[in-house]
Amino acid sequence: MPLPRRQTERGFFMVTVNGEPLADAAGQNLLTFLQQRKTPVDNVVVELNGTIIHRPEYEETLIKPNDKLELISFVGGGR
Amino acid sequence: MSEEADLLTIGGHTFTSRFILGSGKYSYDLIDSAINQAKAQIITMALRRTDSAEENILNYIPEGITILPNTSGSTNAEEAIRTAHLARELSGSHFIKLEVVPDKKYLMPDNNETVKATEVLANEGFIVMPYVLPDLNVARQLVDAGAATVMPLAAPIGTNKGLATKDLIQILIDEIDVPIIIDAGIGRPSEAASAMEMGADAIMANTSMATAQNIPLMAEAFRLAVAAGRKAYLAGPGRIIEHGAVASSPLAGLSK
Repeated sequence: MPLPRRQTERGFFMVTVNGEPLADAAGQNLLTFLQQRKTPVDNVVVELNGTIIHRPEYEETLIKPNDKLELISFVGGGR
Repeated sequence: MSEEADLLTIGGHTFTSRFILGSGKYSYDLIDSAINQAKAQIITMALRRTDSAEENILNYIPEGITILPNTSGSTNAEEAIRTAHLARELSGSHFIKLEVVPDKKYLMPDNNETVKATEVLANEGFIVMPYVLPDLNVARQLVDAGAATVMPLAAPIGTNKGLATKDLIQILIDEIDVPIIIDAGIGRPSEAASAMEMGADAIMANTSMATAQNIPLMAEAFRLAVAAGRKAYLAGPGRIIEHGAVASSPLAGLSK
């Protein structure tokens, strides 16, 4: 019986997203990943392993196993 | 002086409004009307981990409003610098409201770490607006480090206690050449007016509106108070007689 697609192509490698482990993100590019999460791309900044990824680089940036992603947005706040 | 000529200049950018709005603790639905009633041109926002379920605040900000990201949540210079970098990427602008607050109980800013972060960020081209406990020496260090404004607290964040640091703020107004923007603690429009009369360049407020029964109406009240205080400052308030009284009616020609 063939392995599930996800397992063969990406393996069961964990990625950490905003401090939480996530099983199935590795192998995706950032743009697809954000779109699937329904993250508004106009209100997110992505830090990958401590480095900011600029918006035009989302599509060419592949998420690798053990990557640490921080997805940060503007929220209400002020005094 | 005409109203057109009375501009607030921050890092080379000019504003006609002297009232900066916060966006915390109230429904995003009210942001638009609060901005309109306040006639605010700058609104501050925090950065947090994305929660896909949460509404996108940017959808509620009218066109032409300057977003002033803040570094709230940062407890030292290093964290604040990281947050500023994230904010610049997100906003596309160089404005940063620098908040370094290690203390959880009183939310007191760390002035020393704030000076450190100001120096780094100003060198990187940020328009740095640091939030501090009012202290003349620190304010001078901030200016030397490249701060665009100094934002002293009037009272602890979120307390609505008013101008508790009034005398210390007055020293900054008198001695510091960059705009002094009163940040935190202003609870009533009368206090905003009072600070503007003293010569403050602008007022930043959030909780005082967010905790009001009618947020847009309070935003309007603040706008009027800030404008009134500013006009009074420009007009030059009259002198105070500490003892006795001075009649304003003629003393001659009394009919007895």
